[in-house]
Amino acid sequence: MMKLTGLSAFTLLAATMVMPFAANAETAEEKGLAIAIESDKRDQGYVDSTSDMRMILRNRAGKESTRTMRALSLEVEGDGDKSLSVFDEPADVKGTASLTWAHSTKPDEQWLYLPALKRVKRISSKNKSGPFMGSEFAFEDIGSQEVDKYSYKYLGDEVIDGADAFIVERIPLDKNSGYKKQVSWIEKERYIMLKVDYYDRKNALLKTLVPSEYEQYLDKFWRPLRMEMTNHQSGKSTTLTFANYKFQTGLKDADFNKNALKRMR
Amino acid sequence: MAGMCLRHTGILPVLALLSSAAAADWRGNVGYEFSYFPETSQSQDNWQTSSSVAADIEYYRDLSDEVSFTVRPFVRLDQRDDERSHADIRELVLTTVGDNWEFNGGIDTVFWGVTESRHLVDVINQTDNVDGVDGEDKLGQVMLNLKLFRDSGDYEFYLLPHFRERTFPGADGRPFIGAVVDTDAVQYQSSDRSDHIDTAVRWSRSFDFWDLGLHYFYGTARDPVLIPQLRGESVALIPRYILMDQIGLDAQGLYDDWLLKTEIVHRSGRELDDHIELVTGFEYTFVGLLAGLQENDIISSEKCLAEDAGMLRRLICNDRMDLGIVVEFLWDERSDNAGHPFQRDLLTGFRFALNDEQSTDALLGVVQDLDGGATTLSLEASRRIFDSFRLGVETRIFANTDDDPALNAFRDESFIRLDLSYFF
Repeated sequence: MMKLTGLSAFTLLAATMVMPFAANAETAEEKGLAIAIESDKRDQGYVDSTSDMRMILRNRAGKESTRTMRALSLEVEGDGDKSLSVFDEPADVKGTASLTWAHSTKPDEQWLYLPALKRVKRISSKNKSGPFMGSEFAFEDIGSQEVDKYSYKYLGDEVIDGADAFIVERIPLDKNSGYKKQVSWIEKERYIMLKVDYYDRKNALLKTLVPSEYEQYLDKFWRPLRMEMTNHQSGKSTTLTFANYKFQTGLKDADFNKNALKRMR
Repeated sequence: MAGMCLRHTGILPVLALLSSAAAADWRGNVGYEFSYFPETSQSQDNWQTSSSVAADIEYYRDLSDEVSFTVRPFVRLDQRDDERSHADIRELVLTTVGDNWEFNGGIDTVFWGVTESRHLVDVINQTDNVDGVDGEDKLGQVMLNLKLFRDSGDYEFYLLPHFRERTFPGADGRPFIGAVVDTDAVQYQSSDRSDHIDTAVRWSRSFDFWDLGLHYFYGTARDPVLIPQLRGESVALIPRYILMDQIGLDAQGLYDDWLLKTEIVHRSGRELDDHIELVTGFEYTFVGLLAGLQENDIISSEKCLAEDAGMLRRLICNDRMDLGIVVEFLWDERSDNAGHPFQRDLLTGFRFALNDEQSTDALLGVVQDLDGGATTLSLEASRRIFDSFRLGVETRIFANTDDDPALNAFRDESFIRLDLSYFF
């Protein structure tokens, strides 16, 4: 069976690219945590969003393959967000859809709909370190980035591509994470994430994510329309692009349950 | 039957006219399949290889914000078996969705259940037994279906006015089950025959990491009793469809990394001994099974990245591969009188997902009869090629069938099947 879980949470990843800086933190750890908390706060109020996504996978020889999907997400007060997505390409997985209920203090709940069998399957979220649809994005890269799932450390400032940025390290608390740590660069002016380095369990640099082409929606929420993930160890890369972002479309809780998953086209 | 159905494929050009509308969608696949049986059969025709083509096409259209229409015709042409050449309307249904309800009227396909080896609680649709041997291909079922979504759970009500007979391989079909099933001589317990109105209700709910379902079904059992009848020198099997009451439970829980699954049904009826059937087990997944080899420097990462890496090394170096272990215990209270091979059996399955760009996966399963009967081995694997095609292989091996009355007929029916499908 294919692994498709959590894909809809791509939009949640996009949401967390906006990382504002909070001042007056005493220690590096407190300062890092304050940034994460403030970041979470700043993205509150988006209510719901929908988008179209295209992923281009590139192997070392430069051979490309494409996946397209549509995603919906719903903000949940006091817990992780709910997200739902459906594949359009490749054609053999067309109509395959996934539903994720992210949680801040317990494991996420995930279901997968297989249209050929008309069957909804519950799946373990243990596979978070695994690749999403053969791409260089892992499930945990695209899942809901709850504050409580990491510990943080502010590492300093740096100018990156002409922009002033903060450097924040975060360490996954989940034993199933594929990473020892992540290091992110956050632009000071717009509080958007410019780069993330992922380190594997042996603490070797594994991947780099570069989000770009940021657009602002509802005069508040910044979203990158392009994300480039490069795997330094395998030489493979994945480009993820977003289109047709819409916010506050009137989605309801009932659009994010198992029955809605079966009806998703 | 086949001839009649094939003429109905004329429906496709008509549907093409509809596709210009907004919020409409076509999808499906057409495939070629090649089968090879290493042993000659006990059936009259001693063929060992066969070709077949099939098309499974779905058209969907929104009629309004609340109402949608779906039609899904299916057709297969088989070189050897006239009974396997068949067509079906898997779906032809109008769906209306409200705030906390849904109504489906027409022909539809419904799946209930959680286990992998047998689908005990899945009683709504008849099995299309000629199309696949795993019981997962279903014939469309005429129904009126209302679903109510409440805080206390989801409630589903079904009215099933027309019964579909199970399909069986013909005299030239393989795997051959030892005798020809004479579907023309079909018998019913109900005097209404296939027009008996069957009913079903189901309640289901998720509690944190548990999914629970309870159902009640009254009507024509989807599994026929096969009655042997002497016809001159040979024996024919007459399918008899009896009426039954079924109460069933399906439960699935995620307990740490363990996925626990159970399906249990109680069946009773005038022509049926009251009895319980059960499938229970678990699934456990090792994520990135071989990742530890490189992490602990048992294999050097440099060797894995070498351009000349052969197939075996590439497999060992795949730190993305997941392995799922599936174990299920199958039981029928009636023991040897069960009428099917799974009276006390154990499934051990290995599910490989390579998580590569081609979404390569494989499922190896061994079902062992625990009373000294047959061993059934199955392997299903597939891989995407050229973006829109999928290449699959399926094999079933029936071993130790001598002491197993239910599977003895399959002793020469082991086979391998290759399938190439184009998806759109």
